Amino acid sequence: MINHLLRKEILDQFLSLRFLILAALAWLVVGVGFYDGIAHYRSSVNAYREAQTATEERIQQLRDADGRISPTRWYYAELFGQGYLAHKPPSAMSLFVRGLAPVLGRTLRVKGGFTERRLTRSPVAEAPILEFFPSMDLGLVVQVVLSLFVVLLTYDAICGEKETGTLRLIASFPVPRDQILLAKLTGALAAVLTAFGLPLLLGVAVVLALPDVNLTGSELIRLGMIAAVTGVYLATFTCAGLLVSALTHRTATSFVLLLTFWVAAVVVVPRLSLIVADAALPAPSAAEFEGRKRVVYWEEDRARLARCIAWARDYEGATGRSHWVSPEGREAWYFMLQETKQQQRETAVSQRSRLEEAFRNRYDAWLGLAATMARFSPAFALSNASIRLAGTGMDRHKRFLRFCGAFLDRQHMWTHKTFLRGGLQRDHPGKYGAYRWDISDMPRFDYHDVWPVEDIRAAVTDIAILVFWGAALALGGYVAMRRFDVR
Amino acid sequence: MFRILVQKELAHYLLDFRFLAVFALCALLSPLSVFVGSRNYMHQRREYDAAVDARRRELAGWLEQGDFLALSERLSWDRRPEVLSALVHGLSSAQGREASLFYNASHYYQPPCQFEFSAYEANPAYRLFGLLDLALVVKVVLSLAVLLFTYDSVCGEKEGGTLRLYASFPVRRSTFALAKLAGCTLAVSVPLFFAFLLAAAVLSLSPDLGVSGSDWVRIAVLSGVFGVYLMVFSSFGIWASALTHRRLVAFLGLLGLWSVWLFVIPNAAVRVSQRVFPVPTFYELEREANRLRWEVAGNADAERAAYWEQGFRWSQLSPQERGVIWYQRRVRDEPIRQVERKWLGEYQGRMRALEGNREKQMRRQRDLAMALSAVSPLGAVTAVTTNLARTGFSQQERLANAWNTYRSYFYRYIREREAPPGERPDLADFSPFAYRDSETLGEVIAGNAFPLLNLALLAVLGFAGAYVAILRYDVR
Repeated sequence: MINHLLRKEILDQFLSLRFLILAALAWLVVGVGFYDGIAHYRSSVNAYREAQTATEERIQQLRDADGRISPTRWYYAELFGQGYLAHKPPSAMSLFVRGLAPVLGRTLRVKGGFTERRLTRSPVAEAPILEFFPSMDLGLVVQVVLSLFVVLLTYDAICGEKETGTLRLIASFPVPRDQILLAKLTGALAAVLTAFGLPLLLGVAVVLALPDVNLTGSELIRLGMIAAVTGVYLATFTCAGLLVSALTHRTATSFVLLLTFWVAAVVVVPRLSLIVADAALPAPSAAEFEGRKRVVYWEEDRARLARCIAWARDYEGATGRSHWVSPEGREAWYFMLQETKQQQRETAVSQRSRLEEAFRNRYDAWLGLAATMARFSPAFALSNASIRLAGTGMDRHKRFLRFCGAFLDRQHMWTHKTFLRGGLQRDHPGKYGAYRWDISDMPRFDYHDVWPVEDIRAAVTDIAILVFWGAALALGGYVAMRRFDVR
Repeated sequence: MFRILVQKELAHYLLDFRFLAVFALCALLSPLSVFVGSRNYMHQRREYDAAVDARRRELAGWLEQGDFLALSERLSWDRRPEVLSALVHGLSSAQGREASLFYNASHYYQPPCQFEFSAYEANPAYRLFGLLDLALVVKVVLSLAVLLFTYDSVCGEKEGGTLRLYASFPVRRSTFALAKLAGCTLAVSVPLFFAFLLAAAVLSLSPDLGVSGSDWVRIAVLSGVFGVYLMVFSSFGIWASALTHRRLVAFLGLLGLWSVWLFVIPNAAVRVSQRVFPVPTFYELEREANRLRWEVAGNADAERAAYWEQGFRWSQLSPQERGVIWYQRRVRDEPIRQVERKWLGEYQGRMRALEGNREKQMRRQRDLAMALSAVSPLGAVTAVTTNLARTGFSQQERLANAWNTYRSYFYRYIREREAPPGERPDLADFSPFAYRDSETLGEVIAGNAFPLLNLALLAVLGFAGAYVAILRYDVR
């Protein structure tokens, strides 16, 4: 009997006009989503290539900086004051799940002096039109549009049959209620996965066949996990449809209730959770944090300058002449600069680390609370999991920022060491070697993506929540079906 | 008879369970979105106030101490968040909030005018969770709710058998059609009007927001524009209902239209405009700027070298002696200052031309995207409402123009006040940048006439189509 029921449910779904129209719409929306994703990825790659070319040309300029008439040009203007730009490479996974990539900065100015440790030139900052309309990011398409389509496929699975009278007929057969529900669930899942899963899988296959898209083994595994979590998400909404359909006796009521659930899950709960988290644990101000870091740096710099001025005064007092007029004086000056710079660095690094740790702890606590509450929404659980797996969220961005921070420290120290060396060589070529402008040992910005297992572990929590949602809704549907009055 | 039919339509909708659901949705989401939007605005406002306070103290210290170096290299300005972003977030989180000025005559670098460090960049969590504002609720949720309300206004009656009954009365089709349109529109308007009233109530109960009289007028106009937007969906809902004989087909057709209007057309418009009018990236601008700077600096160096050679036999001096002379005389010697003014002016002029060219290309691309997307009511309503709320493109453009004008003043001021090393110039008369958007409501409406007209035309088209479809409807 169960086979007959299964066959009946599957045919009911697949042969309905509703399935045809929703499947056609899904193909359209998913197709446009993939096209948009490819366009976004190609423009990101293009921008990255141009950025790298600009950086290479700039570094070549820096190599050629020597020979200028102005004596400070070779050091202060080009390396210390201007530096060059370093860039975060685009992730191929952003093709599928754009996540936060459009709003996260991609570019860091690397110079010898004080550098803000923050990235700028996000895609949206460069082309604000991208933020003007709801994007066709596939993650968003699945989260918002396809879930709505699933609601439309399933809202009348049970109450619709009651309204037409066929449910009473089926119930008159010697079939347990749970088998009826199982058949309905299977039929609905088959329809959902065929209508919406097929265009997604086909789109992925087409994208993977493109010559300019190269995914590594780890990325392919993550993509597989994203596909699985998408399936679980759609199955969760299928179970929700069946549950509500078994709780009501009118299709109109079922649809309105499901629409309310959809609005709450997709629109309201994630956004509201931020507000509630803010009320319980106010978010630390990023502007205040950046401002305090700047103050720390400039105060230290002012203190260092004061030490330098005091040293110069003492030197003049002891020798009767300015340090700058004699080679010995200039040599002592360079070594004093290096020492004070090292002191400044140690103090600043320690203060900055304390500030960063305090900010990070408060921020992580606030974000953790907001995420915990938002996970009541299956839509947020999907979004969070897929963004983590695709590497288009905060995790990859933070890894890149940490790399940038360490690199900037190295660059800063190298610039000052180079200045010191150049100055000493100019004044004492016999002692320190002939002066030669040479930046071949300048640290090169060479970032490579890593895909730590922690990202996957963190995504597993969201996947588990989604599975829990699906199971809970399926169980609820089972109980509701057992109690459903078919008369 | 017309009045009775309208009353019947109103009663039919007002007593329907769907009306209750849509009403509840509006009543819940509208004040909630305004509350959430207000909280976001207050959070941004607090950050802004803290940043402005810090910068004011910093600037006061520089001016008092005559710290010329700090003023010339570290001056920044923060964009004030807009109060109406609580209703229409627009681009306020995506656009940069800080702009910096940097002047150093010795290496000619002045960064292209750009606002950096947007709210999303400062705290990406807001993007992860999404921001809830009234515009999102109206554009996405309420438009869907309106379709739910109207999709079976005609075919539902046919399926229920009541349409044939009305057709048997001595009522002209045109009267019947007008009564249906009027009744349906009035019924849809009730929850929407209530939603906007609740939103206004939440705003007025938040005195910290500082909503001014002109802002209230803009809010009223915003409500009107949102109302027209929802009327488009209402009219097309009735039209689709009068084109089919089955409710399911009507609803699915409308869902397809909703998906295409909200997602496909706007994004397609953006991609098409990017293909038709490609804009060079910021990195290409950076490359051009580097090449230009190198060329200009080389020319300036050559002229300076000629001056030093003539006056000091430069080629015979040691690097240290050159350094001392350059350091002490660069600012004092008028011929050197003239060389720098000349080449700085050359660099700034050509740089401004490069930036201006890119801005023009971006504007062209954006205008095409907005024109194409106005085919969809979402595109039209987004363009109008963001400009009304001062969170759209035109405000950013005006701000960027004002900043560029100020930048010229700043460079002139710094050049004139540059003092030799060891001297502290008097900076007491320095004027910091101050900006307040002064566009009037009339100017906004005039500037957005095309999308407004589009929206109105779509509503008229929907009603006309529904009217004709009802006239031709087979009631048997």
